[in-house]
Amino acid sequence: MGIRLKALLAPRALTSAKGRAPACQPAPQFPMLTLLSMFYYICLRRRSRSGTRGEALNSRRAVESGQRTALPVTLEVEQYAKEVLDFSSHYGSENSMSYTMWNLAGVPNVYPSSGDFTQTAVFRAYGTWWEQCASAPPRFRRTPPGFHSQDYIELAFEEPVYPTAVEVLETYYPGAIVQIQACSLNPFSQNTPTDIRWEVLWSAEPTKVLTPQARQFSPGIKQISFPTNLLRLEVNSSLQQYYTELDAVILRGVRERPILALYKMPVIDISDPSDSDEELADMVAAITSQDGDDGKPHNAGNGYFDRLPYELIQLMLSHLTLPDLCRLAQSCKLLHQHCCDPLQYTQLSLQPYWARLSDASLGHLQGRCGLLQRLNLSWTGNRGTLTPSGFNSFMKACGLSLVCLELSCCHFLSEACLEVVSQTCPGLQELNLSSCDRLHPQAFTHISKLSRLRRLVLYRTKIEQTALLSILTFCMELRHLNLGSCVRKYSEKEEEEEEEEEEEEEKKKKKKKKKKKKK
Amino acid sequence: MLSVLSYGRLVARAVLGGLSQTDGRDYSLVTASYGFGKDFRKGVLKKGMCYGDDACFIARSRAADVLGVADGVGGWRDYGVDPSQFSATLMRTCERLVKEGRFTPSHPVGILTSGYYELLQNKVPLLGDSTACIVVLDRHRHRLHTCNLGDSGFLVVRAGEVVHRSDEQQHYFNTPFQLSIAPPGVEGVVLSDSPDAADSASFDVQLGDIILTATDGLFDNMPDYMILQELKKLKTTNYDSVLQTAESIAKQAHDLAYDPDYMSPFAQFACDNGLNVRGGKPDDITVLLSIVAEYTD
Repeated sequence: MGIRLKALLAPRALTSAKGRAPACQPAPQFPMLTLLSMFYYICLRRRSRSGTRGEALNSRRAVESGQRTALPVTLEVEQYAKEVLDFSSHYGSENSMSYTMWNLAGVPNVYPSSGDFTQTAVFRAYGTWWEQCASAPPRFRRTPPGFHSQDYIELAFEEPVYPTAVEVLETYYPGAIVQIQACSLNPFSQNTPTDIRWEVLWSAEPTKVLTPQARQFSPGIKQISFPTNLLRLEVNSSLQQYYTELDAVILRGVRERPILALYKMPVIDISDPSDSDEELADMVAAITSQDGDDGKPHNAGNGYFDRLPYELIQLMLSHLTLPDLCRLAQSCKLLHQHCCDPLQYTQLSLQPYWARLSDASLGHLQGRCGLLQRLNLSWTGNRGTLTPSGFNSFMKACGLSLVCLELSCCHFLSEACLEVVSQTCPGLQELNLSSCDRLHPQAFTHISKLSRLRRLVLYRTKIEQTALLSILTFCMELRHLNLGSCVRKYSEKEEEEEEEEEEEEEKKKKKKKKKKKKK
Repeated sequence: MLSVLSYGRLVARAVLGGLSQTDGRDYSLVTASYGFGKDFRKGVLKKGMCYGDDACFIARSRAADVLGVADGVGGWRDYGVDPSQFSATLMRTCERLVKEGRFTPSHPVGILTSGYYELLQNKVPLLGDSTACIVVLDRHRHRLHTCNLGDSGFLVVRAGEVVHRSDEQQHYFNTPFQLSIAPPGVEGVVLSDSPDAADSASFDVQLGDIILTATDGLFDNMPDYMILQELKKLKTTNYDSVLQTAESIAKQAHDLAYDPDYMSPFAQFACDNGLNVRGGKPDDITVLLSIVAEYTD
């Protein structure tokens, strides 16, 4: 009884949500107080009806539990990265520990010292030279203005938590990180994932920091609705004056989902193209429904658009980003015709949308990409979102006029994919396979069938001598060849095999000597 | 008759061999370090585990215990290069390699090679020279794997007797084999040995074996019998007694080094080479004393 009275008089008392009548007041010498409290109660009851039921229940639970026992203290868990799973490039070599991305895991080695240390994680490039030099490939059209990432690194932590803070310890020329994302997949679990979501925790334009001194970078991150132990940092070093060096990443989070009172509703980002593949899926329905109306002539109803020349509308649409193009295709038949015109898809960059690209999306785009000349699928398809069969069917449909193919960090690629590329893209001049380190050395022999190849990037791949020699023999027009970090990693097995071979050779020599002696 | 005896011997050997391998206890090394830098800074830990131009490390990985000593060659000081930097960085790098498990316990030369390779990755060239000696105990197989490049070395003592020792590698008198990184231009002139030139050895160890790893500051000043005398005082396997013994050995060597009349092993060797020299050899002394004990977490 006493508790309920207290709850009534408290500003957030919503016990009225259950519709109980107020108890009779035990203090008749305060009629004003009685009137006021009744008035207040009625107002609150109205408010509770218009508010969400869930919120009311939760706050009530909070208030009640607050009076009986202390609120359960949600302990914040602080973790350093356990393992570096994937990255696009690094300064160090594959056999070394110096300046390699694997230094980002574990506790910091160098922080808070500033300077150039070999125990830090350093990306391959900095500054603008790589984009301004004569051999740099031209930028793809329709790159969304918000996409600045040049490199990325994916880190796995021990325990999935709801993140409250992410801290990056940068030790030299900080300020290169442009995006932090979290994944719903647990990379250490054995279950096959059903739905992999990537959520952007924080994102910004690249900035130039005034001093190259070490700093602890802790941006305000968005609250997400799933626990995560897989983070992805995306980096842009073009404004840096020297290599940016990272030492460690700390993930702070809570184990249980934060209660609604502490839960900040995420700001809905209107410019975030989060539904491009849904649009693409809707496209199929739109196409099939509109196909039936082919007999009717296209006239009126499009206003001034009917008076504009076809080419002018095409020119206008060429300034749209890909998700906007797909959304525009759903607006009316005329614009649908324009948006599906293959001339709009001579250059296609799907790298900014790597998190949402799937086999289905590729399938929907297939029909429009007959005149495709430059295709960028870098960073896409990891963790099962793209399969070799989906890629193969796309290449078979769109490979004929393809001139440039960017497949950097595409871990879904298999030997069969490269074989299909060599068969379906006879005119291919540029091929980028950097950091495709899961491709078997045998796969590279198919590249020698691309006789018109001019530019080949094999940074951090496992190509071997035989494949390389055949490429050099048959690709007569080759002008640019990047074989950075193509080293052979010595493993224990190989050393044992070498020792066994040496022993066999010695035995053979002894046998020969014995034979000679016998003779 | 003879064939029965030989057959019996074979069977006995096989049985005993099989039995010894079922000993599943892991061994470990209880190690203590002590030393003196040449410039009277008695055991001052500069950058941790550095004594003058010498450096050492003690590390533990998942499957092995690893020790290392390195002796920086002092001649570089005349050219403006700090010789302690090379040896200290070499030992820090080897320690990091061991802690990250990037080595094979049975192949300690690999640690030296990888460590030297990592030094070459430095953007600012790390100039200098150093000898090196690395000792790896494979905990489960009870085997000690060692490699030595130069005149540092190790002794394995069992029941008061030296059962194994390393050989000094020298090009000529007072010029040991050494790893080096030279300034560009003088690479052909400066003495530089490859890590592959290191001597490797492997042998089994037993509980209670004492392993003394040290730089030439110790071996050039104290002959074996003096070292063995000090080691007789080590009877337990706890860290404090090991540290005490290491300290006493290092101090005795330090005292002998500055004795002008004492006929040290260095002076003996010099006389054998035709130089009329007496007295100890003032040098950086680093002593890593370990005893093989059972593995406890």
